[in-house]
Parts: sequence; C-alpha cells; structure tokens
Amino acid sequence: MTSVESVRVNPDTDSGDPVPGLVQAAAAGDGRAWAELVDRFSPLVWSVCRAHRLSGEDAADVYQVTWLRLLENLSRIRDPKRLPGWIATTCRREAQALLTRARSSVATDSERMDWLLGGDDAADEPMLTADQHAVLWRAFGRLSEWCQRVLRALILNMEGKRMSYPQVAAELGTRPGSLGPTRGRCLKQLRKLLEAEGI
Amino acid sequence: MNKERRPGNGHDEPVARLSDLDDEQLLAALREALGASDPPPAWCVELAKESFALRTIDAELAALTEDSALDGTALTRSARLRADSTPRFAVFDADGLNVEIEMSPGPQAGSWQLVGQLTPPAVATVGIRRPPHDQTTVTADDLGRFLVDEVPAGPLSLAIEVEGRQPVVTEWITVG
Repeated sequence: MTSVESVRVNPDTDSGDPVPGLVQAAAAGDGRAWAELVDRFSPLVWSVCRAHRLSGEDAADVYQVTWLRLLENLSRIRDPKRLPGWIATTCRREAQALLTRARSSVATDSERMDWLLGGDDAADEPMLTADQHAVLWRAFGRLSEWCQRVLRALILNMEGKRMSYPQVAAELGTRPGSLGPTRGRCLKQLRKLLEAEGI
Repeated sequence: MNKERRPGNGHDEPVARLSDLDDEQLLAALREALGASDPPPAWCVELAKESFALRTIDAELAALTEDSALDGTALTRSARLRADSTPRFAVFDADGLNVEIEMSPGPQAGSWQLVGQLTPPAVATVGIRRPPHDQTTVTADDLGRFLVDEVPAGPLSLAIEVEGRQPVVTEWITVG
C-alpha cells in the first residue's frame, strides 16, 4: 500500500532523467510531481499551440486540454522518456481538432482574452514544427547538467542577439572567459545529438 | 540549405534541419523550444496545475468515438445536422455504457446547452467537470436523458455514476 504523501524525486541522485519518476509519482497521486511536470513541459505545450498560429483564447484551450489528456492517461504512459513527443503530438492533435471545428468566439471575449494573454502576436515568429520542438527538448535534456545550465542561462539573458557574458558568468559562478568555449562545446554536443535523431 | 531562412527574421518557413543550424540559430531555436521567447501565461500554468484535482482513480474512461465537428458523422445521424453546424453531436463509448451528447449555443454568449442520452437507459448522476475541479451535477432520468442548461465554452468531461457499475468519465473535449 503506497503512502499518499509526496514521493520526492531527487534529480541529483537519480540517474539522469527525473521525468519517469515524476510521471510515476503523479500517477500515484502526488500533486507536487504533477506541478513539476506542468512547469517542465508548459513551454513545450505553449510553443506547439503558437506554432499553429492559434489565437490567445484558442491556445489557452488547447493548452488546458493537452494537460487534461495527460492527466487522464498518466497511468497508461508506457515509456515516460518519450513524454515530450507524446505531449507534442497530443497538443498538435488538439490544435488541429480546434482548427477543424473553426470555433467562432464572440469578438469582445476574444479581445479581452488577448489582452489578458498579452497580445496575439508572439515576440518572434515561431519557426519550429511540433516535432522539432519535441526533439530539441529531448536532445537538450540529454546534455550534461552543466551544459543545460549554461545554455539556459545564456538564452534567458538574450536580448535580441546580444548576450551579457559577465552577467551570465556571475549567475553561474564561473569565469566570463570560459563561457564562450563552453557554449561552443555544448552546442556542438547538442548538434551531435540532433544529428543522431535525423532532424 | 537555404541560408536565407534564419530564425528571428520573421520568415514563415520552418527550419529545414536543426543539426544544420549554426550556433546563433541553434540558440534561437532552443530559446523558442524552451519557451523563453513566448512563455505561457501564468494563469494558464496555474490552472493546469490545479486541474490535478480532476484526476480520477477508479473510473472507466469513455472514449470519444464520434464527433460531428471533426469528421462529418453528422451527415449520417440526422438530416438537420450539417458537418459545420450546431448542434454538435458527440458519442462516447465505455464498456457497457454509451453516452451521446448534443451541444447547442445557450442563451448567453459563450455558454452552451447540453442534451444527453445514456444507453442502456438508466438513472444516473452526471457530474460536469471543467478545470480546475468538478462542478455541478445533474440527474439522468430513467430513460437515461439528462440536460445541462449552461456549460461555458472550454474543456469538458462528464462523470457518470450508474448504480451497480463502475463510474465512467468521458474523454475531455472542448465545447464551443
């Protein structure tokens, strides 16, 4: 009889990927594991919604239904390592179903929702397909912890194409001079992983 | 590879091969994939987290087997239904229980009326489920008919309890 108290998955001691543990814990009733899954994959789901050029309100609906689908299938996920692909496929399916339904929302509701969502246009034109999203996610997740931290920090500090190395270095507690070579090395590794995927 | 297709230049074309991207392009692609350029709204994320309350443990899942809004099955159901019209017609199948619902726009903008039929006909409690938690319930009469006056547009699932059998929840659909 499993206790309903949260099973805390420690990504530092478990081998590499915490996602299978999170899926298992969530399926067993751990709400915090679920919340962590939502945090991890929300950007992926949202990006796939936007890649279909969905309006703010429609994207919000597809986003919710994608998560609800995962919830209703949690105990049926056979290979949690393939979760990014499963999520992207599900989201894409829901987006296409919505486009098929050609939903007509009342103009004022749409406008208000767009305001709430901060406008209809993404800051940059989305350019990745849903599959590429999933593959990039997977490949990124296979990089070393350090590479993931460095690249994530560099990306979050990007303004247009300028990255503040001293800022990122300070954040990571490393020398600014090492960032360039690390960046190059990590991206090279990422590229290798992508080549292996054939994408 | 067409070198004109650089990320962030506002082109509509997706990238050809991720592994062909240079460092800057790859970082931009990562930025998009990681959601840094267009993050999901916080309220969306919170709602998804809270929706854990909608998890069911012992219920059987009734799969969506027909949906007039998706595949034109309306054409085989009733002369008055067109594939692109309301009411929308959907059917869910569980083992030994079939749920049919018809959705029409309600009197208020953004709300829908739902007419349902259980087969085999049976009295049942029908729970209306929407993020982030279960909502109202209605009762199906002894002919298995039920009515929900107002369902807001958005994700919907029904929880059906017929005495003497395992509870059933319908697969999530989006109303509206």
